[in-house]
Amino acid sequence: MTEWRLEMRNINKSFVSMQALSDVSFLVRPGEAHALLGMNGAGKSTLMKILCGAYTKDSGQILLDGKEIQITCTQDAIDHGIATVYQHPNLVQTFTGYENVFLGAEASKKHLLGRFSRSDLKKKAQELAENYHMPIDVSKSVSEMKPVERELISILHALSHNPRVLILDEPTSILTRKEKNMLFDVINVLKKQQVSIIFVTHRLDEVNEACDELTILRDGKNITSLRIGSGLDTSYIAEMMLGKKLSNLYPPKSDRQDGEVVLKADRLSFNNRVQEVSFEVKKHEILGIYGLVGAGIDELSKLLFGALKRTGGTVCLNGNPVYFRHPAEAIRKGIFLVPGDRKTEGYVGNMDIATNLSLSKTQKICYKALGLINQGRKKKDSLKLIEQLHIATPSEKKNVAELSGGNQQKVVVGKGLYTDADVYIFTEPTVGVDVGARYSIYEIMRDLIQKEAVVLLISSDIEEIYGMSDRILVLNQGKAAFTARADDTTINEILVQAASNLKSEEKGKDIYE
Amino acid sequence: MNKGAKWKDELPVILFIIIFVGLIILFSIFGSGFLTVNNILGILRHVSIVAIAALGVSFVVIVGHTDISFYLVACFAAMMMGFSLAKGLPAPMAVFAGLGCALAFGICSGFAVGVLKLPDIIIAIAIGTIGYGCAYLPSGGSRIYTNFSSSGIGFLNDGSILGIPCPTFLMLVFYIIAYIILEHTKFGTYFYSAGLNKIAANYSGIRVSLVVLVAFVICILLGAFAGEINTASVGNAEVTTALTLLLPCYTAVSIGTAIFKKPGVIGTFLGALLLQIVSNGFTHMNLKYWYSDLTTSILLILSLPISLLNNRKGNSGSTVKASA
Ligand SMILES: Nc1ncnc2c1ncn2[C@@H]1O[C@H](COP(=O)(O)OP(=O)(O)OP(=O)(O)O)[C@@H](O)[C@H]1O
Ligand SMILES: [Mg+2]
Repeated sequence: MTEWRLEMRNINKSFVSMQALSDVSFLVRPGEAHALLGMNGAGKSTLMKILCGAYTKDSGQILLDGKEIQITCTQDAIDHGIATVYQHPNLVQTFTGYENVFLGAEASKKHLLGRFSRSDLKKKAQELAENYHMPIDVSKSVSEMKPVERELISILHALSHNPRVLILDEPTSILTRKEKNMLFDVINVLKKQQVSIIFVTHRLDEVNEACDELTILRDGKNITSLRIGSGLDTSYIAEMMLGKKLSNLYPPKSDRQDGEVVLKADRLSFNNRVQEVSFEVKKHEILGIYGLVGAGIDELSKLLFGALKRTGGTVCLNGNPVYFRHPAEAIRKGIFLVPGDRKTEGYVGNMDIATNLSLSKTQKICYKALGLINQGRKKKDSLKLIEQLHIATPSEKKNVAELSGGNQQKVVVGKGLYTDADVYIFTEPTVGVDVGARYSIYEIMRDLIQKEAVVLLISSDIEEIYGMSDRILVLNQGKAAFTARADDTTINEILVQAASNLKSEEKGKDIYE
Repeated sequence: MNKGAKWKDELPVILFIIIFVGLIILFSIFGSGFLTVNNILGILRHVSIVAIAALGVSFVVIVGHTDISFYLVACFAAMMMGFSLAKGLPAPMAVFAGLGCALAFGICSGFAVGVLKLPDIIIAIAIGTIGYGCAYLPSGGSRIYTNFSSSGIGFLNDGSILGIPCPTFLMLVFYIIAYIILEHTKFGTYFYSAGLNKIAANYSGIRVSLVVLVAFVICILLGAFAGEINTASVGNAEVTTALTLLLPCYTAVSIGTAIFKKPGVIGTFLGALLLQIVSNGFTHMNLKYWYSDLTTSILLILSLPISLLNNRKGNSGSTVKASA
C-alpha cells in the first residue's frame, strides 16, 4: 500500500482559448481532509471535474490506492468510489428529496430489477440523513426546499455512493454557522471511516477548522502543499494564492453620516413573510441587512426591486412614493438588485460576458435611433468592468457559463454597477469570490456611497455585514427585530437578535456561540 | 489538444458542409438538369415560402418556446385573403386582411403563453384547431376562385422587383431586417436572453412577457404571409394551402441551431435552403415527394441531438418557473 489514497500527477487540461491546468499534481492521504485553495479561475473546479469525470484530462495520471485508474465519465468515478458535491448542484426540481438522493442509483446494474420501492428509498434516505445527524425532511419536493436543504440533499446524494474520496466544491458558501458545524461533524465522521475529503473553498477560517492539509493553485499551476499544524497563517496563505501581499480584509469606513434619506420603507409587507418592516437609508451609507434563512430578507429585496408585489406599506425614493410593477421600472428609477442566486437570477448563461454586463442598461450601448448597438462602446465598457472587477477571462466574448464560479459572480456584480443606480441592493455579492477580488468589490461599494448612491448589503456572512455596514438592520421571521449603527453593536448582539424569537424547540438546538 | 477541442466544436459545421456538398454532387450526377442556372434560380424562388415561415418560427424558438399552430392559422389567413378578393377588395388590402386575422391569433397565443404563462404546446393545439376551423368559414371549405386571377394577387408569386422574383425579394428583405434586429439591436438581446434565462432576463429589467408575445406575433404573421404567397402561386384559395409548412420549418430552424449552436437567422436560411435542395434534387431524380418528406424528418431528428449537445453548457432558465 502506498501512503496516498489519491494521486493526481502532471495533469494538463486546456480549453479552446486557454490552458486551465498545467502539470498539476495533487496528493491526498486516506482519512484526511485536504483543502484545495486558489483565486477565482485558478483551476480548482476544473481539477475536480477531471477527477469526477465531468471533464477529460489532456494528459497526466490518476492513481487510486496506488493503482492507475481511467476516468472517462462520471459513472467511472462513482464506480471507483469518488463522489462529488458540485459548486452548482443540479437537482431535479420536481422530484422529492429522497428521489434526488438516490438519483441515478436506479440505473446502476444492481437495482435494474427495481429492488427498491419508493418507501424503501425514502427509508434509506432518512437513515442516511440520521447517520450523519442531518435534520432534513427528505420527502419534500426539491422545488420547495431552501437552498441549504438542497445543499444537504446533494451531500447525501454523494454519500449514498459510499465514497472513498469525497469532493466538496465550495459547499459552505451559502451555509450558516449552524449548518457548517453540521457539515464539519459529517467530515469528522467520514475521516474516521478513512474517507479522504477534498474541500474547495475561499474561506480560510474553515480550512483551519476542518482540514489537515492544503494545496494551493495559481493560474493552473501548483504553488505549494503544506500540512496545517496547530494554526494557519491566513495572511501567508492569502499571499500565496494571490501572488502578492494583501492589505486589509475590509476597506475603512467613511465618517460622513450627514446625508438626507434616499430610500425609506414604511411598514412594508408581503403576505406573512415580510411583516411591516420599516427602515431608511441615508446618503453616503451602507445598510447591512442580516437574518437567518427564512427571515424574509430575500423577499424584502425583491419587494424593493419590483420583482415581488407588496401587499402593504409604502416605499419612498428621494421623498417620492414609488411602486414598481416590474424590475424594469425599478431600474429606470435607479434601483438595482444584485440577486442572490446567480445561476437562475443573476446571469444569462450561454451568452457572452459583454452582453450580460450591459443587459440591464442596454440604452447605454445603443445609438439613439432604432436601438442599434454600438459594438465598439459595448466592447470598451465591458473591458473596463472586466478590469475593474478582475474577471479572469481571455476575452469579453466568452460564454458566462464557461467562467469559473467566482468570475460568474463578478459578472453579476458588474452588471449591477453598469446601471449607475442610486440604490444598489447587493445580495451575497462575494459568494465564491476570492479574497483579492472580494476586497475590490468592497472598495467599489465604498466608492459608490462616496458618490451619490446608497447601498443595501444583504449577506449570510455576519463578518461581512459587520465589516462593511454603517448601520445594520436585523430581520427575524419577517419582522424588523433590531436596528443599530455598526459602531454601537457587536456581532454577538446581531446574532442574538437574528435568532431570538425563534420557536422554543429551535432555540434549544442553536449553536451560535 | 487545443486543436482537438476546436475540431469538435466545429463538427456540426463540417457535417453540414459535407451533407450540403454531397447532396449537390449526388443530384448533379444522378438528376438531369439539376445544376443549371434556371434550376438554381428556381430553388432560390421556391425556398422563399418555407424560409419566410421558418424565420418566424425562429423567433419563437429563440425566446424558448414552440408554436405548432402557425401553419394552421396561416391556412385561415390565406382563406381570408381569397375571401376578401372575392368580395372585391384590391389585392394589397386582401393581403392585409389575411394578416390582420393572423395578428389576432398571434396576440391570443402570445398573451396566453407570455403573460399568462400557459403551456405553449397545449395553447397551440387549441389555437391551431380554432384557426383551421376558421379557415372553413369563408367558403365552407371549398376553393375560392372568384376574382382571383383578375385581382393581380398573382404578382406576389410571379412578379419581380428590381429584377428579383417577388417571393425571393421579400424573403431577402425579411431576412435582412431580422438579421439586423437580432444581431445588432438591443431587441435581439432581449429575444435571446428571454429564451436562455427568463428569470435573469426579468431581473435585468427586460419585460419577458412582452418579448414572448411579440415573438409569437412575428411567427404567426410571417407564417401567414408565407401561406398567402403559396396561395398566390396556386391560383386559388384553398383550405389546405399551408398544411405542409410545419415539418420543413421546424427542420430548418433545428438544422440552423445545430450549425451555429443557437437558433438564428443565417442558420434558419441555410436549413431551409438544404431542404429545398433535397426536395428539388429528388424531383430531378424522379423520386416521389414522400421520399423528400422522409429525408426532411430524418434531418430533423439528426439535427436535434447536435443542437441539444451544444446547449447543455448554459443555465437554461426556460424550465424554471418564472417568479416575476
Ligand atoms: N467549460 C469551459 N470552457 C472554457 N473554459 C473553461 C471551462 N471551464 C472552466 N474554464 C476556464 O478554466 C479556468 C479555471 O476555471 P475553474 O472553474 O477551474 O476555476 P476555479 O478555481 O474553480 O475558480 P472559482 O473559485 O471561481 O470557482 C477559468 O479561467 C475558466 O474560465
Ligand atoms: Mg470553482
